[in-house]
Amino acid sequence: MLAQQLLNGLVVGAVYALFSLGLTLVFGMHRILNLAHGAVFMWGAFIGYFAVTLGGLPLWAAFIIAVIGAGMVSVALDLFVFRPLRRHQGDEFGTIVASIGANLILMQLAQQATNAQTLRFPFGIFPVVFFNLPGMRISLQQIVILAAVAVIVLGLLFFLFRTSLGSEARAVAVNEQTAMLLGVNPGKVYFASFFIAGMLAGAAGVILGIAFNSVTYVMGEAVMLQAFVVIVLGGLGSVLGAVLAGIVIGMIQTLTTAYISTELSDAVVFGLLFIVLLIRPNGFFSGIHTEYRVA
Amino acid sequence: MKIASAFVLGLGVLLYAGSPLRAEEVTIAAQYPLSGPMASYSGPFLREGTEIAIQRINESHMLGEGRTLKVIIEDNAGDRNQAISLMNRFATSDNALAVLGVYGSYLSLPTAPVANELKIPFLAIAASPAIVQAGPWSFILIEQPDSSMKILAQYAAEKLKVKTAAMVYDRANDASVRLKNSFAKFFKEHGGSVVSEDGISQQDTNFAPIATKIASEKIDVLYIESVPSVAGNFLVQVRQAGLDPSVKLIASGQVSSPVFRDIAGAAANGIQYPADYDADMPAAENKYFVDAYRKRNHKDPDQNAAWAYTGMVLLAHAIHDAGPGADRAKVRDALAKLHDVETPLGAGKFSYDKDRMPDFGLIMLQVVNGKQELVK
Repeated sequence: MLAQQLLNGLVVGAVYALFSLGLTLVFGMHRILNLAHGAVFMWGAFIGYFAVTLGGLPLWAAFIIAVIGAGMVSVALDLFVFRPLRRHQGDEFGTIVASIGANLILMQLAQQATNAQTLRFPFGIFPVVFFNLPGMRISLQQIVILAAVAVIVLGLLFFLFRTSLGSEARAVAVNEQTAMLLGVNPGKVYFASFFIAGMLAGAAGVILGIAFNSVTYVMGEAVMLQAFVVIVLGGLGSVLGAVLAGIVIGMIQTLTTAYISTELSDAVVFGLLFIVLLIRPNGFFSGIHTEYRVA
Repeated sequence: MKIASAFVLGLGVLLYAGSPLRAEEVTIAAQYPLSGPMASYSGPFLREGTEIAIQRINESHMLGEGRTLKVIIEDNAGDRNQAISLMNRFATSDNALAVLGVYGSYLSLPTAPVANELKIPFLAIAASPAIVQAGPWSFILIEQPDSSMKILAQYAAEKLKVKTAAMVYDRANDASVRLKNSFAKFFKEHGGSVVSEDGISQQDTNFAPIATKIASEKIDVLYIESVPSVAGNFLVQVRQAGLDPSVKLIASGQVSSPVFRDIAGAAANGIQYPADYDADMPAAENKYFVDAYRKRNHKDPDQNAAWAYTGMVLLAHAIHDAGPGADRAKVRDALAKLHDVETPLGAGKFSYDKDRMPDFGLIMLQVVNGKQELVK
């Protein structure tokens, strides 16, 4: 059973990592703690769900639409919530409060749209295939989830470190004013970072919605809680840190539930957070605003 | 001339006093979780059942001649503070004669003492005896957990012939914990043993760790105790984790819901549970209820709709029995004395015993090919 539980932990940890990447990306670049990220994740799941059930689209097409849709929701958040605050020199606390308000609005909209029902992707949307290995069984779904997360993370790293827009994004993360002087358009960078963060959340939403057979307007809340732990442990703004911390948290949560008690899994995770913060207050990895030189 | 005017005026007053315009308006208030985490499996169904009951009460003049019914339905959002605030409002501002709903022990337990302080009859759609113990003004609609779990444990031991059980329950819900403990107690009395007990919460969606653990255990039967959407989701995941198909599935009546069958899909096939309600029960009142519900909502009613309908009908009967100009105390007394009232629940006749505990006869149901059926 241990091998099976480790696999379970790896899969859920990978999804936590995917979700947390968006959160840490926006924080790392712009020092914005977007508490509406869970709502973006939830809306990504709903967009994917409606694309399949109402639009009749195959899963791969619904996934793409969900990812883009979630990206647009995230950009809209920046446009209507965070940008006005930036223009008026709003402080960090104001930004957090505004994101809480935006989160509530997005949740209320989803609640009204679905009549508070718990929905699920249609059975059979993903082939139910299992492979039996010694001591465990792995599903095709789990393999695809791990592969998809790996591809997305690699894509993000490629964007950040191999593209000009990625370089500009990292420049803005180090110092926005200096980047502007060097000819970087911060507006373009904000758009790109929020869009990518939304895409990551949307991807995580669809994956989780299918993997755990549940799409509901409150689904973002529990994941946000885990994501905080992930981004703090991994180091605020660190891509690598978010991935590793996500996987570690997923494993710890799973093993605690399986071998100790379900009631204690959150206590263990947050206890670990507390201990790590005592030793490494900035997490285990540095963020993108400190990691690399811009030029 | 003045005498004639006075005569006409007096005649007018007499006519007005005796006319339908002077009908006694009776207000019943109801509060349900129409939003919030409980709403997905309860709120809308409770409201739909209430609407059919209003129709029934008006059509059959159940309140008695000269009385009109006014129903206030409010949303407590599954929040205890809101439930208490609404109870206060119903009793003080809205002048309701009685209150139905709140829904579930989680919301009803803190609200029952408030109803007793405010001296307003309160019929909770819940099963916890502590609600009744809060005072003479609070009642419950659902039979005791012990009754249903005794039936289930006996059924599991004697009909299913199972001996070893794994139990999964909602650890944050007092009623769920009580049901689980009750089943465990009676199951052991029938010679069974409990291999494992795992608590889950309504916010959980990832059940892979527990599902994997249970799938690896040597058990005859899996008992699931949670709200419909969560129970359904858990079943899907435990099947995916490789649960032996020969393991029997049992649950409490909470899964008697189309939400459960929709979420669980084929994973629910074979599950058996004691329940308060099934749309195919032959009682005359159920036939009316189901036909009216289908006509209005284009689907079958579930247990929640049946509870709300029954609650409204019981209150209407109590108000009728309390007589014209009834006050809250008379309604309370009449409610406690209800006996053999025709309702859709269970075997079709609802009564309160001397301790104000409901009795209407439970039924055993199962899911076969995605449909709920009576166990033969």
